Amino acid sequence: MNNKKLFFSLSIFLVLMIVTSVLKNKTRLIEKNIQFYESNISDLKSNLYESQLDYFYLSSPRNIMKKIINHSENGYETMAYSRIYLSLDQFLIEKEKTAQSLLNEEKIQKK
Amino acid sequence: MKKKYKKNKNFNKNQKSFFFDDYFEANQKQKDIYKSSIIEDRVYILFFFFICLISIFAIKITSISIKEPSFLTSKKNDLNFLPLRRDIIDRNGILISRNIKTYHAAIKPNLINDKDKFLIKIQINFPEISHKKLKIKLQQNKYFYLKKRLTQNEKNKLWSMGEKGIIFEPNQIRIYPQASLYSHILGQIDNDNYGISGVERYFDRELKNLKKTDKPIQLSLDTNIQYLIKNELEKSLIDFKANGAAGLLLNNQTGEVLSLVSLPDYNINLRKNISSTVYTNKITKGLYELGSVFKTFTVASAIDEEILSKDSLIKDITKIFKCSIHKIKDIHEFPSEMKVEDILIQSSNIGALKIAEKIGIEKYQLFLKELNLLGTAELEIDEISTPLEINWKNKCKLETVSFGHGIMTTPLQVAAAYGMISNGGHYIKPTLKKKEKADLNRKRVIKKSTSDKMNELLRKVVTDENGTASLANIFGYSVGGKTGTAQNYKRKKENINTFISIFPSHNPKYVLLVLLDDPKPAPHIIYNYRGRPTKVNRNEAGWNSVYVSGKIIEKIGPILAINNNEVYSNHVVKKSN
Repeated sequence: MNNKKLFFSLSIFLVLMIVTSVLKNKTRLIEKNIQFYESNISDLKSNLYESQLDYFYLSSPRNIMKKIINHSENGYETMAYSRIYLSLDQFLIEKEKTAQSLLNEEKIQKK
Repeated sequence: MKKKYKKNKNFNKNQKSFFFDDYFEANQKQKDIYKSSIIEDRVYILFFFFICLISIFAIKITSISIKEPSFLTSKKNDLNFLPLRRDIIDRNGILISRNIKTYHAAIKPNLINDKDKFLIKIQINFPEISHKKLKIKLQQNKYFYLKKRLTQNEKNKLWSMGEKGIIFEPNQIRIYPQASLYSHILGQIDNDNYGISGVERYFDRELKNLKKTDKPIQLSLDTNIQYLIKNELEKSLIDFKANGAAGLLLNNQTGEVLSLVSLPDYNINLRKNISSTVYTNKITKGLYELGSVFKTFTVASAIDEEILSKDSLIKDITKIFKCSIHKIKDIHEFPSEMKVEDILIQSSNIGALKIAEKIGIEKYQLFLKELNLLGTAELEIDEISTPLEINWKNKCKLETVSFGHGIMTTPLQVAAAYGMISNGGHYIKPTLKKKEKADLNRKRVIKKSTSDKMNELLRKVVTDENGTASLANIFGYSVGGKTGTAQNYKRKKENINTFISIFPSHNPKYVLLVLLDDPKPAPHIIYNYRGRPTKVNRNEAGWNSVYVSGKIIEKIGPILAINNNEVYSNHVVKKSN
C-alpha cells in the first residue's frame, strides 16, 4: 500500500519535473522569439520611419511634376472644368445643347 | 466521546452489537491512515512547488513581452532612435517636417598617430576644410568638431580612413521633404533643437513634448494647392518680370490658411544666412498700401450703416479732387454721377472718397478697426508686422484711406477682412491649425444682408463689362473680387498690384489673394478677354494679378471641389442639370 503511494507520489514528481523542464525550455524559446520579433519590429519601424521620409520627398508635387515633364512628350495640362463630364449621358446632353444653340443662332442670323 | 466517534470514520450509529478490536490491528490501521495523510500532504506540497515554478516561467514570459528588450534601450544601438521633435504634417497627412539621425565628426588629436598623414587624407576627401586651421587645431591637442551634420557619404569617407581619433557623435537634424515649398511658414530650428523662426518657433513647446512623439502636429495647409499656387506665381515672375509675388488662400468660414506663398523663397534644408529683404514674407511681414481693394470696405461700411444703398447715386464726381495740397484723380475719366455699385465695379477713387465723406471719419475708423485692419494680424508665426498707426487728424486722411492710400497693412489682414465681409459678416482669425468646423460663437462684424450685397457686387466686378477683373471669370467657380493697383510706398515708380477674389460668390468659401511686386506689361501674352484673344501693353492689376488668379483658380478649383462636398455638389449638380 505504502509502496504504491510512494510510487504514485514519485511518478507525479517525475511527471511534473519533466513538464517543468519542457516548460522551461519552451519559455526560453519563446523568450528568444519575442526578442527576435521585437528586434524585427524595431528594424521595420526604423525602416518605415526613413522610407516615409523618402516617400514624401519622392512623391512631393515638385518631383512628380519633374517626372511628368521628363517622361511625357506633351506638357502636363490640368483639366478645365468645362471638360469634366461625370458620365457619357452628361457629355451627350451637353453636346446636344451646344448643337441646338448653334442651330438657333444660325436661324436667328438667317431671319 | 462523541468527538472521538466523529473522528472515527468506521463508527456506525445504527450498529446494535459490538466487539473488542485487536489492539495491534487497530493501531496499525491508525498508523496507515496517518502515513497516507502525510503522503497526501507531500503530493500537495509538490504540486504547489511545481505550480510556483510554472507561474515563475509564465510571469517571466509576460514580463519579457511587455518590457522593452535591453538592446533597444541601449544608446549605442542604431535602431534606438527617439526623435526630439514631433513631425509636422499638412491637412491631408503629408509629411512636411521630421527629425532624423545624423552625426557630427569630432576629433581627439591625442588618438591620432600620424597627424601629417591624417591632414593629407582630410584634404583629399574634404577639400572645403581649411588645411591651416585644421593643422592649428590638431596641434592644440583639444577635442574639436571637424564637420557637423554629416551626410551618409561623408560619414562613410571618414569611417574608411580607419582613424581612432575620429569620433562620430550622434545628433538629430530637421528635414523638410517639401524643400522650399513652405520656407516662409515653417521656419527653422537651431543646432540645439530650439525653434528659431516660423511655425517651428511658435509651436516649439508643443513640438518638443516627448509624450506625444507619435502624434504629429497637423497644419491647415494643403501641399498640392500650395505647389499649384507657387508654380503659377513663379510663372508670373517670368511673364511679368516682377520683383516678387505672393499668394494666400483662406477658408473664409474657419479662417484656415490653405496656402501661403511668398516669392522669392529659399530651400530651408540648406542653412544659410539670408539678409536680403526680397526674401521677406510678403503676406505677413510685408506692409503695403494696397490701393483700390480698400474701396470694398468703404462701400461695405456705407451699406452696413445704411447711409447708402448699392443703387444710391453719388453726384459731383469731378476729374480732379483737391484736398489740401494733394490732387486726387482717377486713372481715366468717369461720369459726374455714378451709382455706388458702379464706383466699386469701375474702381473710381473720387467716387470712393465721396462715399467715405458721407460715412464720416469716426464710423469709418471704427469699421476698419472691427475688421482688424488697424491692429496686428493674428497667425501662428512670429514674423508678423504691425501696421503704422494712422493719424486720423491729418488732412485728407479719410479721403485717401477710402481708396487704399495712406494706410499700410499686411496682405494677410486684408484677405481676412475680405473673408469677414464675404462669409456672412462673421469675424475670423486666420490660423495655421487645421479646424474641422467654424467657431459657433463668432462675433458679427457686418450684417448678413450687407455681406450678401457685397458678394453680389464683387461678382459684378468680374462679370460686368466695365469691371476691372474680367480675366478671373473662370467657368464653374463664380469668382468675385476686387483689384488694387497702387504705387510702392518706398519706390514710387513701382507698382504693387493685388487681386483679392472670393469664390463661389453665391456662398463664398474661399478667399484668394494674389500680389505682384512691380509687374511689367506682358505684350507676349494672348489674353482671353471676354472671349476674344487680346494682346495689351498695360500693367494694371486687371492684366496681371487677375490673370494669375484666374489661372490659379482654374487649377485649384477641382481640388477644392473634390475635397469639399458642399462646393462639389453645388457646382457639379448645377452643371449636370
